[in-house]
Amino acid sequence: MPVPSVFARGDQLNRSANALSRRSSCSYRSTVNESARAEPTGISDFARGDDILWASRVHSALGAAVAKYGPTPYLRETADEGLPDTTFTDWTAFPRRIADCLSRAQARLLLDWRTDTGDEGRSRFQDEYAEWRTLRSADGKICRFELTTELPEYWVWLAGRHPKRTLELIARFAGEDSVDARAVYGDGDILDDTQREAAFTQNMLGEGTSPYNDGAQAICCMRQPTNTLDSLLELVVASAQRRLVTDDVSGFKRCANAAEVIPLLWGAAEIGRESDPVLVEHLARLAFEGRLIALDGLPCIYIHGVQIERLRTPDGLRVPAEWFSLERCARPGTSSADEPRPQRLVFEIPEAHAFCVGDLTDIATGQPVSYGADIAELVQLAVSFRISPPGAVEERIFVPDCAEVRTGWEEFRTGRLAEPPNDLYGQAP
Amino acid sequence: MTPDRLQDGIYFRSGQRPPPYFRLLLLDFPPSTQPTEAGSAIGRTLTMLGDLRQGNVRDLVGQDDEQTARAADEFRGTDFMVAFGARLFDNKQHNPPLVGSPRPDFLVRLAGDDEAFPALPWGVLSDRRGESDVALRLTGFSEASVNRSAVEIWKLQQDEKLAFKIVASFEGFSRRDGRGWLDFHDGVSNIESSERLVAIQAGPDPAWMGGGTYMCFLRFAVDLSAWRALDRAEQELIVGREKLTGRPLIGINRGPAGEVLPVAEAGAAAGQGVAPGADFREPPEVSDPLVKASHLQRANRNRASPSAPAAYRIYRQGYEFLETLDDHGPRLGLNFVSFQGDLGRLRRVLHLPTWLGDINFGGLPAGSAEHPPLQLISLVAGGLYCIPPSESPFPGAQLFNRSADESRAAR
Repeated sequence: MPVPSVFARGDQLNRSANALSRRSSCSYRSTVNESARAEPTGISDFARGDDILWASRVHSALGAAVAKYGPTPYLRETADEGLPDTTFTDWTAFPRRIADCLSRAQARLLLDWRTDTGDEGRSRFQDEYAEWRTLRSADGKICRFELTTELPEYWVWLAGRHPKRTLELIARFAGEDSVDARAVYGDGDILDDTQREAAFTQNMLGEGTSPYNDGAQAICCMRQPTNTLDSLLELVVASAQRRLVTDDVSGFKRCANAAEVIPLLWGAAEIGRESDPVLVEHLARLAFEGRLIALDGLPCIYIHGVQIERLRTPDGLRVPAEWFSLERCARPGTSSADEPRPQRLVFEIPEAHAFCVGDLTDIATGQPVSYGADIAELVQLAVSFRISPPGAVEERIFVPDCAEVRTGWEEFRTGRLAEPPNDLYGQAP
Repeated sequence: MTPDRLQDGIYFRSGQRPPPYFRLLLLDFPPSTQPTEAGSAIGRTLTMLGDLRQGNVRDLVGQDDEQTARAADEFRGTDFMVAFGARLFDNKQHNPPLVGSPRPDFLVRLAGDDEAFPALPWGVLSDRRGESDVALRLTGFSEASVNRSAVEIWKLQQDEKLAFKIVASFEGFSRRDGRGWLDFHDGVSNIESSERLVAIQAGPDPAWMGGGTYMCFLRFAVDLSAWRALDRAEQELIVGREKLTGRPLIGINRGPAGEVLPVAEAGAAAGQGVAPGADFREPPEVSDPLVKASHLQRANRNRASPSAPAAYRIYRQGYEFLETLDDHGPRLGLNFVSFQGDLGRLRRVLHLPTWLGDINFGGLPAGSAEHPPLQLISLVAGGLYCIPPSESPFPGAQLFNRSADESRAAR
């Protein structure tokens, strides 16, 4: 198959791949990746007291989400007493919505779209709380796949508070001995944490063109506009409500499904994705059962498993788990049974073998691994929650349908129908 | 609401129950078959089956109205569905190529090595049949109706030298008590009837499949001796239901000797529904690791509806089978048949850890002395099929509409 023009930078990327050294990975007994290599549990970015500061940042974001979507009796800010059980919601990293809008073949191509200014496909369309880059050899075949679920807000916070650690991590991701700070923070004068945060945001996120997060040299955290802590928290807050509908066919009350709930969520979730609808429904069902819900530990999306059994080498053999490296393990939740939660995956074939990732075949499609989406399809992501037993929250008898009211408010607020007085409503959500 | 274009025989509408008898007929075209020959063979066969439903039996032309009415009565409610396997799209099997369209992405032949799926091995006695160019799924209210339909297809092929050969046939039946060979309720946690179409209907990628569906056929052998060696509590923990009532388990207690005592949800028994008229119940959220590892919980891990794509919901219609019964015991199992809008969904259910990718049927993957993993089912035969939407003259007919020039060019 001819190499698409979007991969024209294959030579350069191949050199980057060769420069990347082998890394250690999380030691965790995933049901799939039991042989993953060892890295100490827990992200070691925190200095003493930093966990409290980051938790405070998360608290602020959660407060903003509650202010926007309203309080819910089913959601607790922290998993303290009364929430003894753990559950998780999972989905795969392949951006289904993109494939449904186009075709699967077109989506696979679009999602790896690269331009001279970076990973266009990634920053615009990789929207399942996971982003990846592929490194290709001169013949266009994938030789390395990297995926991250790390939240941009965390990296902004880290970059502001711990520039040395930030640069060390980025250098490691890029396979370089060190990274010029100007490539990450720009050329401006930086005096304090806040200015560093702003400089990192400007260079590494949004329209920033640093090669260390545009896929040219590395990816270190997500940058697609909806793959954020704020989006995740808004989704959780908006979804954790008890919503009943009368079933069209049976005529009986049941828990509302994603298609019925999402239009009421005021933009907090999007129909057609893998992640949003399943999170909406799982949380709605937990609320339906009267359970209290809290995020399990500090919020993160983590890699729960990989469908490695789908891959075959050119000899028809299975791919060993050791070829997948799971890294950047987030701190586990409050349960003693919690396993580390990797947020970064690197997949490449050891040099001893005469083939590369692009020579593998997925038995589920019968096709060679040609695009990053072909590996993303295999990656299972999850968010973990702590929950109470059922019936902990008293049933609300009256659950209003707020969609029309909220639409009206939005029209009023944005001045579509009338200019709101700024002194009174200027700070409205 | 726009009427769906699904072929008859899926029985997903509220109140519909699948007929109790099933036969799957697998047909292959010889390598040199022309597309027009293949298309006309399918069309002719489906026309004959339609005639049969009217009581018009080819070898009994001339029988009187009363006998025709009796025949029609026997075939009343018999449905037939045409499906295409990956082989049809494989140009190594067909010269000239039979169809001009590439195969749908997840329509593949099952892997030929030890395990078609990570936790589902091929059985020792399996000859790994189950895949073909065309599958005809027959369902009816009597064994005679589906078996006679199958044999009428053979007769037609013989008489008219139709361009296919029958390569395999599988039969099955369903129980009226809603249970399977494990004696547990089966199919209780299928999908809310109002939401089934969303789970079943395929999108327009490729365009000719828009409004159709995909079928997975897996013929499992069940090791009934191994199953019956377990006590009731062990069985209930693996299935995730109370055996007698079908109520889902919500936890466990420990008895005086430390033995596990499953605890079921209070409420109506399976089959009684949440309320009169409701024919579906979602399993409850559970926290106990043993219960969470049960088949019921694994098969619907996120407990979400088909409108959440990552719920990976599939619509099942299984039929039991009994192949032999002798001194060695019964050779029996389940024809697992599922319909879904996307075969990738089924792959994820059968490959993902904590779903059914790390366990043969249910239970903890690593096992323990107290709860060793059970090897309960193995694959005897199986195949994946696409089921195009209804169209004239027959579903999928446009696939065969290729001129001789096009066929030569595609070689």
